[in-house]
Amino acid sequence: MASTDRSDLNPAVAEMLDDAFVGAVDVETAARHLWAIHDAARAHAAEADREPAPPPSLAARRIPRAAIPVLALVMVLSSSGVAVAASQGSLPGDVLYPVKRGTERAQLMFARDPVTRAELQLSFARTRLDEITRIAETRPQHVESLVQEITVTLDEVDQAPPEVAVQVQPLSQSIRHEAEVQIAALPPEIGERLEVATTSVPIVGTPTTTTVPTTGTTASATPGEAGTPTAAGSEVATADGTTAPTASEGTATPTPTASDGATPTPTGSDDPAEEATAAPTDPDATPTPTTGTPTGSASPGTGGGTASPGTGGQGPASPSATPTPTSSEGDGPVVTARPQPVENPDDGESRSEGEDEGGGSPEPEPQPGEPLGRPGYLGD
Amino acid sequence: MTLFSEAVADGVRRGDPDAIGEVYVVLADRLLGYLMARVRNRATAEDLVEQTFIELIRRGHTINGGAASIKVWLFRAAYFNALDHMRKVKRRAEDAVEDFGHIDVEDEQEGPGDIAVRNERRQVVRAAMAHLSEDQRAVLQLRYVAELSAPEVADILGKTEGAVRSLQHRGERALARLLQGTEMAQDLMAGRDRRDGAGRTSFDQTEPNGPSGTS
Repeated sequence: MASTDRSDLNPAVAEMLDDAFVGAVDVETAARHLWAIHDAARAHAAEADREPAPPPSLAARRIPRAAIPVLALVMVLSSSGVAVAASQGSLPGDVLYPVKRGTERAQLMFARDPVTRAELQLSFARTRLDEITRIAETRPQHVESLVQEITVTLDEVDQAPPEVAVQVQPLSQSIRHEAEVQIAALPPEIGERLEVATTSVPIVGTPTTTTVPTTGTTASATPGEAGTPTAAGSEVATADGTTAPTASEGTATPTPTASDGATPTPTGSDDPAEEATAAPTDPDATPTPTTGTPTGSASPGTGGGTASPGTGGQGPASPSATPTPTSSEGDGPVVTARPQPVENPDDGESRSEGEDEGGGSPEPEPQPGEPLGRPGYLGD
Repeated sequence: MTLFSEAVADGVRRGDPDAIGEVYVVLADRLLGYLMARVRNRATAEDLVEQTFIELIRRGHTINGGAASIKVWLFRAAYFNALDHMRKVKRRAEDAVEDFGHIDVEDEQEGPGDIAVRNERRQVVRAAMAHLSEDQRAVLQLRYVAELSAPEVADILGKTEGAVRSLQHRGERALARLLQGTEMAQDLMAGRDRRDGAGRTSFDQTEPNGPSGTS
């Protein structure tokens, strides 16, 4: 080693200078230094860990997204996200809520395995559900979008390939059921608004129903909510087939179910759901009714949509002064429930009114209401 | 003097705190001595040792080579850290008084008489060093206290190897002159004689090299 080469050094000078300057570092100083070194090394290592973050941000650049998710993603990866941690308990309307959502999106972005991904999505849906219960009283204005998100998520999960769907089905069904129950427990004002929200969602989907599986699934999912998730789906399908003359309409019908789920809220009991399911079942049970009832429902929907979308949705509300939410829902459902008023808007209206009067039977409400709602909204 | 293993050098390049701790154990004494020689204040030198090692953590990955390279890197960093420090101090005019008194840590096992003698001798040597030219002092410090080779010193100071050898040579002679008359002069002369074969010495004790040395 070069440093050991002392041939060109004067040993006397070396000894003299060593004595004058070089001494052992005292223990205290050494301990202080080593501590500082260790500390700095750890801090440096932490920084180095943070540096690898760029890959994710690159990935994020490929899929352009809002800045918040990217930031959150970087924070998640560095595992030092104080804000992320703090955001986990945030609720819609909170400053940190976008961070929470961004974190979720980031997690999803990195879930490559379809099953993991579906499970993640479902766990987020459950989070939304929790949020709904926590903000129902304080910030009802956010409930709508949360419900929509749950619906969309459940639809997406349903759209997953069969092998994935099978694995996550128990979870998704339980969430669907919970959502149903929770939404039913919401205060009536919110329920009303929910009806609008849910119906409007389907509207968009309805036209594309066939093309976009998501919407279709949504529809089926919603029915599930109303009655038995899985069973409902199949029932709906059958009901649709029977009820709705047109396949597309049939698919659309499910969406109403979603509204049904919402509508039950006012009633506060599962009854509506049961009733709703019952109604569809009937057609199934007796295929014959197909033209009669189902068609009726379909047509009423259209008729109601054009003629009395406003009335269907809002008109009923006013009449139902007593059972406000139920009435509105009832109106909707009524129409659907009694599809007979096939093509005559008047019929549909009359029926709906009759139902309202009848006490807003929950059963018909969901399906009819939805179909009606859609057309009406579309018309709007 | 064996420094440390290639594995340790590798750890240093990775910023591994344990490896850097090992380097500290091996080199801290000499690094502290070198920095005390340069800044003439123990507390400041200790701070600079810490600062230098922390730089090693941050920039260790830039070192190409093994233990010797790491050592050169450390003393180069120390050299520039001390330079920075002295510039600052000069600007603040704080270093008017040399602080040799704080350099020594007394060895409890020595008797009071020994301590006094040793301290006396050290003070003389330090004072003599302070009277060398800046370049001579820098070369002697790096060559003797840091124990670096002439090429390594040349690299750090940005001089040619020949210039370093020449400065070292003249610095040694100047030291001998300054210490002439003390008990150490004999040793110095003997050493030089052994190496150069020439005992030519100037006996001019009042060689006015110094002031540049005191900052």
